[in-house]
Order: sequence, then structure tokens, then C-alpha cells
Amino acid sequence: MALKLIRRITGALVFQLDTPLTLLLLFSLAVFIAILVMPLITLLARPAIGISMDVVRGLLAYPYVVWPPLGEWIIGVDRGDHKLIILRFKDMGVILNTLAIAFSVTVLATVVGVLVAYVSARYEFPGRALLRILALVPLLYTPFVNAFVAYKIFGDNGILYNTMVWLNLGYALEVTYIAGVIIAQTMMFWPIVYLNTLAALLQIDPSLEEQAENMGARGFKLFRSVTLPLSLPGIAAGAGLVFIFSMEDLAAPIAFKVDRVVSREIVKAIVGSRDIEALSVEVVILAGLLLTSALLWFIAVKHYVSLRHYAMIVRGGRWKPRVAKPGLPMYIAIYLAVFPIVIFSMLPQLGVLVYAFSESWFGVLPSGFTLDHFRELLRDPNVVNGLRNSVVYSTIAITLIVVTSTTIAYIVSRVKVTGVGVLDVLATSPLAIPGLSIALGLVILYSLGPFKDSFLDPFRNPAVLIALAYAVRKGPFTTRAVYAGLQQVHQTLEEAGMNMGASRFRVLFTIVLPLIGLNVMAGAIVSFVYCMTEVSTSIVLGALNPEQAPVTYVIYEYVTAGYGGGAFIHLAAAIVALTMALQILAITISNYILRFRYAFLGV
Amino acid sequence: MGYSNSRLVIVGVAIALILLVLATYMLFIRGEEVTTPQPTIHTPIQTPLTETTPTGTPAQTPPPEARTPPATPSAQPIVLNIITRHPGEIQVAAREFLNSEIAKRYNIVDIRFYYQDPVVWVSAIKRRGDFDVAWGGGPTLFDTLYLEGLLAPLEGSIIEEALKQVPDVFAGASMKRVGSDGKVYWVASAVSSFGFTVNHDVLRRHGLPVPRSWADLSSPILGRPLVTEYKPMVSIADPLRSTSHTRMYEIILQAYGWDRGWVTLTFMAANSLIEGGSAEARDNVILGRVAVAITIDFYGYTAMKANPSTEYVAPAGETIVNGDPIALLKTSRNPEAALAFITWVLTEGQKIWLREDINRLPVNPKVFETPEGASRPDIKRAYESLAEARGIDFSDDRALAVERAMQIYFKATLIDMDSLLKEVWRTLLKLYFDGKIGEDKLKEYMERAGRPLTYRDPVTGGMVTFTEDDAKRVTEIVLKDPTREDAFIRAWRDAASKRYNDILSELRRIG
Repeated sequence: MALKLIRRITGALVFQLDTPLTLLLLFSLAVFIAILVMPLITLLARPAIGISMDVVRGLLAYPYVVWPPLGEWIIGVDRGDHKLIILRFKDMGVILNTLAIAFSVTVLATVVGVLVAYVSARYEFPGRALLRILALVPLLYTPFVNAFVAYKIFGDNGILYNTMVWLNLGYALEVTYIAGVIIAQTMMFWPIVYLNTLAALLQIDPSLEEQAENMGARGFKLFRSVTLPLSLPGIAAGAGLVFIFSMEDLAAPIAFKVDRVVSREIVKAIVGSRDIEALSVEVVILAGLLLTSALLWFIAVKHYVSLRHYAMIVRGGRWKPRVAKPGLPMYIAIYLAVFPIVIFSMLPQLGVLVYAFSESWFGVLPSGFTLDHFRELLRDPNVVNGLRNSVVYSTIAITLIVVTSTTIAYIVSRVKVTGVGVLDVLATSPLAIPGLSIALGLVILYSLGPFKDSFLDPFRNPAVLIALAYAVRKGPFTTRAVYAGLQQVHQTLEEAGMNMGASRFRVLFTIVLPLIGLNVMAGAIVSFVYCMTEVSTSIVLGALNPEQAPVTYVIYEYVTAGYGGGAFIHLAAAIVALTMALQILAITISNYILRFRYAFLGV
Repeated sequence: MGYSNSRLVIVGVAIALILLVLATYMLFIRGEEVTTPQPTIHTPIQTPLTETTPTGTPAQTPPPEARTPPATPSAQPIVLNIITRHPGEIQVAAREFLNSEIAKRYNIVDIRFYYQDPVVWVSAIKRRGDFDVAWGGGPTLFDTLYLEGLLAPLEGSIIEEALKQVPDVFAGASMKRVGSDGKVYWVASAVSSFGFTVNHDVLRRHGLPVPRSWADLSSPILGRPLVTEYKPMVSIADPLRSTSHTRMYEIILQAYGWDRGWVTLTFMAANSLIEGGSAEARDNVILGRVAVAITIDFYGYTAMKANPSTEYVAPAGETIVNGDPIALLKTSRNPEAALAFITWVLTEGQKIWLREDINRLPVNPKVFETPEGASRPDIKRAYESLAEARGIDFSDDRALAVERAMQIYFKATLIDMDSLLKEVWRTLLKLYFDGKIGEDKLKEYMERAGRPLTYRDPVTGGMVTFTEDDAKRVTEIVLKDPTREDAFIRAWRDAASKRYNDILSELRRIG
């Protein structure tokens, strides 16, 4: 049975592809199998060693599942001239905490994201363009420092608390621990839902809504019965990504001192393990759980909507946008709710800049403007080394990405063969697969057995795996850009070439590439920038040999007071500020090249 | 027609890919640029400390280059690889060595530092195979290296004069590890004491007294903000990730005795925000997130500079002094040059401890006779008062014999059980503060909660109590076979969980 299928596929492939293209396909497959599929299978299979009823029992008990929950949901403290309210939430154990946080963040982020998207898509008001730009600011990747700033804002003795006391409101608020993580992650991730929902809303054929209106549906009824269902695929895609990102996020738990979450347990175990064999089986299972939840969401959403469709927003021809002037209640909602939420979410990024340019920031206000931190950057050997490594890895990665992404995108859109969808999933799924799971899988797979002590062994040369991991994890940005470009290159152009006798490969090089070249470049620029700011595999693999670690590892060490030195938060912020500038530059160039708006920003 | 062109392209692409792979290999496996040493403005001062002229035999197997110690620089420029726990400031300051006469004499053109977690030192040294020197990380780490057979004896007239200048014992602590063959395997290059750093602003804000002893850190008074606001007032670190905190827990266990020591540790942990490393703990007190963090002395001095409201306190009569070692590694490819570096660190290099951003106590008292030494009377005072201080009678060997078990027991029963332990402590304290139980009952419960556990031994299956002897047994077992740690961790977690839950239900019935 299977043999027949294989024969059918290879037959079709041989007919439709020629040798060079087949070689490229095999090469691309090899990369994905070696860096994505094999490590993940290893991760899922590894618990077979060392698992026992004891382990499973242990995973359902303290500290993985804590029932009844411990701690306090909310505390009221009488501070004399005001009452302090501390929002904490209770500890429910590693597994339940992670899931509860992820669900809460997903719900909150979806509500905010949909609201802002709807307002920005369907209403015309002064400042709308500004709103759209501001909404994207939290998407600027600012590893670790943004959560640190969030803590400073509404954490223990934070800016929010001190401001409320100063304003003599009688009440003051602190949001810490798990509650803090939820708020911080919501601030970081709602723009993902916003982007996807906005794209979906803009794609809805307005005639559908007009018909509904003709039938008498208006306002909320219209929204509920027509707009929302039509945009649900976009919302679901965004919400799914938020769920996954929340589960694997390290920054907020570190900043709010929550170590009872899956992401921190995984990193703690790897950084503190003497030997990969001594890695506790509980941690491997946790990483496997992370992966499984992500895969479940991914499959569910993919089943419901093809992620690929969201790569191509403009299909040649635009609808006349359905916008209305808002009524008074809507105006109030926009300026008193939507704008403040958006601006509040930008504060962490602004805080990064404050840290980068100030001498110290102990109290509410920073003190001392200085450029010293930037000067220090170039003198600090850790930073210089990290930057150099990051650039090298990212360059190698995008070389690989360009080859594999173009090959796969071309084959998926032009070659009609069963099983081509698998390639599609392979190429776009890394976005949704938790980096920590990939990292742990890589460490386990390539440090044992035949790979032990070889040049691939991450305990000797994590550099190799880091560069390859970047290529796989950040490839989807280029893949989506190439898909988008291929949509616009009509197949007849290639067919014309092939009629004249050119091989498929020649057609790819002489006809298709020149036409989509700009797309490839734009995608590669975005991929490059996201490689430079990649966190999960950089930290895990970088920790094994800090000399080969990329710059995000340096940031992580500085924020968690590593390197044994002083509180290096200012230095970390300076590095992050530089990467912010880099991202803005890359996205601007990329967008200008393509004149697409939101197809591959952020996520 | 068509094919010749695409063949060319295939070949081109294939060559490009091969080049890419080669380039990667070159970049990361073989090629390493030799960085030129940073020029420093500081001119080395000739003092009574300068090194003696090198003569005589090399330390062990002769290096491939010239056998006789050269009056002329050796043919090959030498780069020394140093694995260290010293932070960035010290690494940068140590580059002064490259300007010294002795460095030039041995043609040492660069020194490279590798900062690694103490947990991975042994495997890193073995895997890499070319580290020359190990520097900084505390005596327990270096004793581990010594037991693993990774250290080479410090011999040769280059180093002998320097070794003579370093006292054998200082404030009751040994500054050298002497092997059974009478040779010195590691020597302290700096001296530290252990204590805690307080933040006066935070103490004032919560109306708390300044703690003066280890026991104060586990007291109910410091636990009050934990009860009213769920804010821990102390910060400590995971002993598995911090050699200095491991040492401090060992001090407490020896100063107060095993049983009472564990009670103190338990409630110190209950009062604490537990961090991954000692620097995070220190940063918590600098940033005002906690009122006190246990710290090694130089972290305390760093804190005081970063935030003037902090102050380092060494608990009177309850602390010890430790020498922070430097040693020659057996894996060194340039043992003579490595010894030259070690000699410099023990003599001329002692000045770097006196820098404003470093603030550590030197081990060689001759450094106070230099101009730099004269400019730091505060450090000289600290050195002299420490020399006279009476600490506790601390046994390195006793500590080492139980160390691994102590660390994982601490993790399993105090760190992993954090929320549950805090729930017990908060419930207990609420009853105490509300007057529902008296001080005697409080002490009784604390003793019940903190004394060493009776648990089901994974090896024999029988019930056994975690006495100091049992800890010795467990240490031996897990050092031989690290994969057995998990079983002990689970057994201890189970026992701790049961105990804390039992006490909790009892307390809830009272309240």
C-alpha cells in the first residue's frame, strides 16, 4: 500500500521536477528532518528511558500540580494613608500555572486584539494611522528587558503604585507574581491577534456585510453574525500563536520571579545539568508536553484554516474598504479605551530606551542621561563576541533559508503531487513549535550516541546547531514572502518557457527568480533580523559554550545578573535598543520593497 | 542546448554549498583569531614584589619549545586559556599581566578567560583539553578539581618565592591545598569572608531591625511582611548553582550543629526569594526587592557602591574566611607560562584587588607596602580585623564529605517545596502574631518542620533519617553515579511534602 503511494509520488515528482530541483528538494528535506523532525521525535521518545509510574505520579504532585493552590489570589494591606491592593494569584504547580497563564493571556489578548483590529478596520477617525503604527510597537522584539520594565511599572513598589500614592487616590495597586506575568504577556502578545484579525477583516468581501445589512442586521448583530465568523480563521490563528508563545515565554516569568512554569524549568535543568544523561526525565516530559500542546493547537487551526492563506493578503485588486464614522459612544471607546491600551502596551519598549540612555533608574524617575552604555557595548568583549557570532550565524542561516524556502515554496505552489502539503507544513510549522522543545531535542539528539564528541556535539560546538536552528526556525518568514510572490507570477510564464524547451530548473532561475527576487530579498531581511533576536535555542545552546554564544545569550546573562558582574540591565537595554533600530530598519525596507502592509510583520 | 547551462549552475551551487560547509568548519572548529592585547596606560611599578629570576626545572613534562627557561622569548607566542569564576571587571584588570616583564619573558601574548557555571567545570576541563589555569570559584570547587586529579603541583623556583609570600593559614583558614606528597596543588589568590548585605531603605519601609546573625534571617520578625503582603524579605541562592552560597549553608550547619542548622536553613528559605545564582540574590537587595541577601563579602562591597543604602554585615563570631584559589591544570600545554601567570597573580597582580570596582581582600600582605596598597586603608583595615577575628571552627573536609547530598537535599526540600513551605510558615506566623499560639509552641513547630527528614531510602527501601552520617553515605552514592540523584530527590520531596501537609492541617485546625 505504502509502496504504491511512494511509487506514485516519486513518479509524479520525476515527471514534474528535474534533477537539480530534486537535489535541492532533497537537501531542503534533509535540513528540516535533521534539525526539526529528528530532534522532536527524540524529545518525545526520550522519556521512554527512565519513565516509571513513580515519575508519572511525581508529575501529578507537588511541585508540578499543586492542589489546592497555595499563596494568595489578592491581598489587601493597610498602609496608613492608603490601602494597597496586591494582585498575585495562587501557585497551582508548574503544569497548571503554565496552562492557566497561557489560557488567560490568550483570552485577554484576543479580546484586546479583536477590539483594536475592528476599530482600526471599520472606523474612520483622526489618529487611525497613528493607532495602526503604535499597535505594532510591542511586536518589536526586545528580549527580556521589556518584561523587566513591565515589573518596574506595575510590580512591587513600582511606578504605578507610587503614582497612585502620589495622586492621593486612597488606593494603590501592585500586580505581581502570576498576575504580573499574565498582564505582561498580554501586553506583549495581543498585537499578534490584532495583525491576524486585521488581515482577515480587510479580506472580507464587503458585499457579504452589505447583504446582511440589507436584511436588517446592524451594529452588534452584524458583527456577531457575519463579521466575526468570517474573521474567525484569522482570530483563531492569532490566538493559537499567542497560546504557544505564552507557554514558552521566559522573559515575563523571570521578571516577575515566577519559577514555577514549564519554560523556566526546562532552561534551569539544561543550564544546571552536568551531563545530558543526568537530565531529569521530568524535564524532558515537560518539554514534550509543551511541544504536544503546540502541535495540537497548530493542527486544530490548520485544519480550520490554512495558515498559508494569511501570507497573501492582497490578491490583486482591493475591495473598497467598509469604514464608517463612529458614533459618540464609539468615539469615547476609541479615545478612552483603545488608545490608552495601545499606549500602555508600548511602555515596555519605551522603558528599554529609558534604561539604555539613563545612568540609573532605581525609583520612579531615571537619573542621568548618558551614552556611556553604547560606548561600553563596543568595549565589552562579551558583547562584541556575541554580536559577531550572531551576525555569522544569521548570515549562514539566511543563505540556507533562501535556498530551502525558495525550493519548497516553488514546489508547493507549482508541483501537483500528493503529499506536497506535508512540505508545506514542514516549512511553515516552525513558527508554532516552541523553540525550547527544539533546543532540548537538539541537545539530546546530537550529544549522545554516534554524535557524541563529534563536531556536531553541542557540548563542543553549539555554533553549528545554532546556525542550523536559526535557518529552520526563522525560515517561514521568507517562505511566506516567496509564496506571496509566486501567487503573483502567473504559471503561464513558466509554461511558456518550458514549451520552448527549458528545464524546470532553468525556468526557476531565469524566469521565476528575477520576478520574485525582491520578495525573496524582503523575506530574507526579515528572517535575518529575527535570527539576530532569536532567544530559545540561543540561550540553551549558547550556555553550553559561552564563547560561541550569540548576542541574545549575552542579553539573557546580563538581565539575570550572570557573568557575576553588577546589575547589567542598562547594558542589556542598550543592546536591545540597537536590535530595535535594526528591526525597524529591516521591516521598513522590506515593506517598502513589497508595498505589502502586514503580511509578515511580527509573526 | 538546454542542459549544459543548468549543469553549470548545478556545479556552481554544489561548489557554493561545499564552500559554505568548509567555511563553517574553519570558522568554528579550527580558526581562532589571536586578539591583540588591549594597551593599558598603567606602567608596572617595580616593588619588592617583583618576581625572582626564573631558573631551573619546569613543573612537569617539558613543553615542546625550549627546555631551559629562556632569557630570550620562546619561539612560539603563547596564549593562556583560563577557566574562571571571576567576573568581567577582574578579567579586564588581569590583562595588565600582559604588560609585565614576566609575561614578556615567556612571550605570552594573550590571556583568554572562560566563565563557566561551577557545575560544568570538570566536564569542560576534560572536554576542552587545553585549559592552562583555573582561577577563582572557591575552595570547594578547587577541592573537587583536586579530587578529580585535574590539578598539577605548583613547583619550580619561579613560583616558590611567591608561595612563600602567601601565608599558609589566615584567620584560621588554610590558604593552600597541600597534597599527601607535600606539594601545593592550589593556593589562594584573594581572601573572602561570608555574611549578608542589608538594604536600609527596605528595612525602614517595613519597620524591621537590622539582622546581625544567621539566626536572625530565619526569625519570625523578618517573616512579617511575608504574612501581610507575601513579600519575602531575604534572598538566597540555589546551592547547586552557587559555590559561595553552598559554603554559607555549610557554615551555618557547622556553626549551629547539623539539626539546629537545618531548622535555621529551613526558615531562612521560608523567608526568602530564592534565586538561581548569588549575583541575582545580591541584585535583589541592590534593587530594593528584598531587605537582605546573603552574600560573599565582595558582592557586599559591590552592592554598597551600586546603592549606598546597602551595607555588608559579617555576623560576629559566626563567619569564616575562605581563600579564593588559583591552580595549574594538568591539561596545560604551556605549564611554565601558566606558572608565570600564577606567580604574577600572587605578587604584582595582587594590586588588582584594590581597584575601586573590585574591592577584594588580597592574600599577600606585601601589597599594602605599594603605593596602590597605601591608597586603600579601608581594605587594609578590613584585612587586619579579619586576621584577628575569631570565626568558627570550620572543617573543609567535613563540609566536602556531605556537600553534594546537602545541596540536593536543600533543593528537594526547600527550593522545590517553596510554596508549600511558605504556606506552612505563613499559617504558623499568623497564629503566632494573632496570639493563638505562644512562643514555645512556635519554636516546637519550627523544630518539627525543619529538622532533618525521615524518608524512604531508594537504595534499601527502609526508612532512614538524614543525619550527617546519612548525608555522607548519600554523597558517596551520587558522586559515583549521578543518575541516582533523581531517586533521592523524589524520596525527599515526598517526605517533605507529607510533613509540611501534616503540619499545615494541624495548624489549620487550631486557627
